Amino acid sequence: MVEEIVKDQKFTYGLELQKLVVDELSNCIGCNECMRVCPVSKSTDLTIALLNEALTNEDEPKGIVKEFALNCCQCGRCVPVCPPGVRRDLMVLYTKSKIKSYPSSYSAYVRLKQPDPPAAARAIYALKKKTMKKALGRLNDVIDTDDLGEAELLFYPGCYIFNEVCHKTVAIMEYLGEDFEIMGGYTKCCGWPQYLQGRLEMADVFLERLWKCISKINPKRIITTCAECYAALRKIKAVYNADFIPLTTTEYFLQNVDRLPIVKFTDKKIGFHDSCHISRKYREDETPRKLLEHFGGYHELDNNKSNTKCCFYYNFENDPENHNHRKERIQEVKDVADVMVSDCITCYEVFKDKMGDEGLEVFDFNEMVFHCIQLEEKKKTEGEN
Amino acid sequence: MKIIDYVIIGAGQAGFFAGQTLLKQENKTKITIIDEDLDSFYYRASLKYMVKKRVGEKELIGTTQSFFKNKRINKIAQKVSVINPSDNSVILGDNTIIHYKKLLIATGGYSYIPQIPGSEIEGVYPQRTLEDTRRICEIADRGKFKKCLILGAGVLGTELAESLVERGVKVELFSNRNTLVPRMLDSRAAEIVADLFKKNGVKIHYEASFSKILEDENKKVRGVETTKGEIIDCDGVFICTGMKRNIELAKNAGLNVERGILTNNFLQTSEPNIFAAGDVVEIVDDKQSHHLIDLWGPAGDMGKIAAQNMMDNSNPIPYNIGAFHAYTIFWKHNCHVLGDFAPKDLTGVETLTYDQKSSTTHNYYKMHFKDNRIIGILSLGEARDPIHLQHIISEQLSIPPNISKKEIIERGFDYERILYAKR
Repeated sequence: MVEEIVKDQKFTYGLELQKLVVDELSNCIGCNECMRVCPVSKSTDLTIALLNEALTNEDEPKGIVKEFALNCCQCGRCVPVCPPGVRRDLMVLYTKSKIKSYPSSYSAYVRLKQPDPPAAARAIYALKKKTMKKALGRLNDVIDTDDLGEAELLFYPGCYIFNEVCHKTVAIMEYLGEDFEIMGGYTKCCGWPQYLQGRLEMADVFLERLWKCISKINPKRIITTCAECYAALRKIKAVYNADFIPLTTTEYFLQNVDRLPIVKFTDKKIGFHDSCHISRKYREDETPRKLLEHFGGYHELDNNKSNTKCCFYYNFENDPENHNHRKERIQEVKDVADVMVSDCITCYEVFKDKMGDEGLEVFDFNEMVFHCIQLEEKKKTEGEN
Repeated sequence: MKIIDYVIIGAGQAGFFAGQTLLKQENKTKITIIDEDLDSFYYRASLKYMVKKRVGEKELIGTTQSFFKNKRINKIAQKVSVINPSDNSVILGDNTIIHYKKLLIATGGYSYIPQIPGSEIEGVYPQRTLEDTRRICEIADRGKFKKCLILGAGVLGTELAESLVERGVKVELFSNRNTLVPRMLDSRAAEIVADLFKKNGVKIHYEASFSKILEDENKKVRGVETTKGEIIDCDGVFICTGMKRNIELAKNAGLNVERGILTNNFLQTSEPNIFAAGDVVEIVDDKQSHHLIDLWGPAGDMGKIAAQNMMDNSNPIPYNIGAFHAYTIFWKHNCHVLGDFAPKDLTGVETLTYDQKSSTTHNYYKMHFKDNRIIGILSLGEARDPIHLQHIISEQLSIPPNISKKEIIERGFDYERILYAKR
């Protein structure tokens, strides 16, 4: 049923899902291809009929449908295989949004990250800021502040502002002599994790707030390290018909590749891991490959690009099989390479931190570029001496 | 005399969506669904996946137990022999009479078998229903299909060819034209698809049909004689030459019919309390243009709209024909055609194409623009957000000035930028 979609209305994720999911339900041909490729744990009794019924049913989802919705990590692997192009990922997200009692891992996440964080959460941020003061450097002044001026170039690390990877992005941008503003902190969250939890109203607040902040800065380009922030920026660009260009750091590095001292610094074989949001959803899968050519090339994994395997972060560890799925992915990398490279900071963190015992090295592009800059500086210093 | 509020003839996609919509009415209205084959509503458009062994019958059932067990729905597994509009009744095969307040005819269609000598021989099969599919799977599993010939290279024929190949059957495909799936593909796309079929061992015969189907001494199919005079041996022949609409009941009841049951935009037939939905319908719009929409998604939408209008005729909802959208998959290459994907009148039409082959996928997109709008697209390979495009085309959304057409056809373009631009 084709109806006018959110035209002349305020954008909300809920309304978008209603139009793109519920009204399109009749297009589902029930082929089950989505469920065949879906990697998360589910009951063998779960059918397309049950999932579709949950969409039109006004009651809260329960039983095996609820269990499945909470295990869904929103990887979107179900989308490219759907003959009519139905968005099963969004269908499950809509089902998730009707859940009233979320598991503790879901709730713990939003207790810390919500539009108006409680006092306890604020105290945790303050402590983190204090203990990381040295590492944060110039970032101390920008965390959670609204006092940002206009800038042509904006670096948007979002909640990842405390992450070392983002500090390297800043160093690389400084190396390139860029004049840029930084926007980040928990109150500058993009809202996408909350959206992926099904907390649509919360995500609406974050999205609108983020747009207001961006409008004030009025940038032409916005760079981000995070796949979810990137997705939110693309959404803002579409919803508000904004003129800025959202860029992943990978795109930014490739654009500036002639000004960066990128070299092949390791003989280890590199395997590239595509992210669900950047590669599958937005098909930005050629950029990282082109960039990797400058580092000496890469090896293609069995399941990549639109068929890539997820890091399983966004079911908030609800699926007990997460660890095994990640082990499988690590094995896929080990089959062809020694190192996993990712252009998504979430994938990078999951495979590096949660799967550290599996003996796989994980690199991020920011780290790699930064390492090359350090090598160049070292060489210069040695030359001078 | 007991009168049922809503009677639905046909438990397919349109009938099911109508039943589901009628159940939302909060009062205690009674609904009766009548279908000879109350195997229930199954996903007919996915039967090929059963041939491919990728899905079982359990997964193909489109209704849940809660729908079946709903006490407001009475399900009758019978054939309707007569509709009697004069006393608002239907007569079933066992002569039971059911009176209705509102009636929905959702009787769908059947495989059209052209008159070819020998088409009645054992081993000549239609392919439309679950029963047809069960039979194909069973014969294939008995190892009885070594080579099959498929007449008809439209969506149904090509889908069946691929499915049978995946089940280990050797297949040859006959197209009576010099192309494949002419309802969807242009010559370039047909060439790409033909290559995929050839790569997977399917021989394609162009501009060829069967002049005769040949039988062996056991009166079973042994081969065909083609219109080019060639004799080809085979164990099975599939006829995939299209469908006809089940209009006999309506015709005998005196409703207006042509190729389908004629309805207005509100899916109301020439009898005001009888509605029709799904493949059986031929909509006559306000401009007296006729529309036959034998597609899966629209059948469900028609079921919903017809049900709404049956419940409340004070403010009827028109069925919005919207943007045409047909789809299939050829060997992991998604194919979608949307809107005016092959415009006949090229005045003011600008066409852009994208044609790039990677190691795994051939992406071919052809997009037509007119008056600063996307009017149609053919996409083969990776899908191009068909749901967004359907909205963009049917709502005739303009392309914002900060977006170039060249950008739009590129892989990875975000169609939400056009969808939301008017806000």
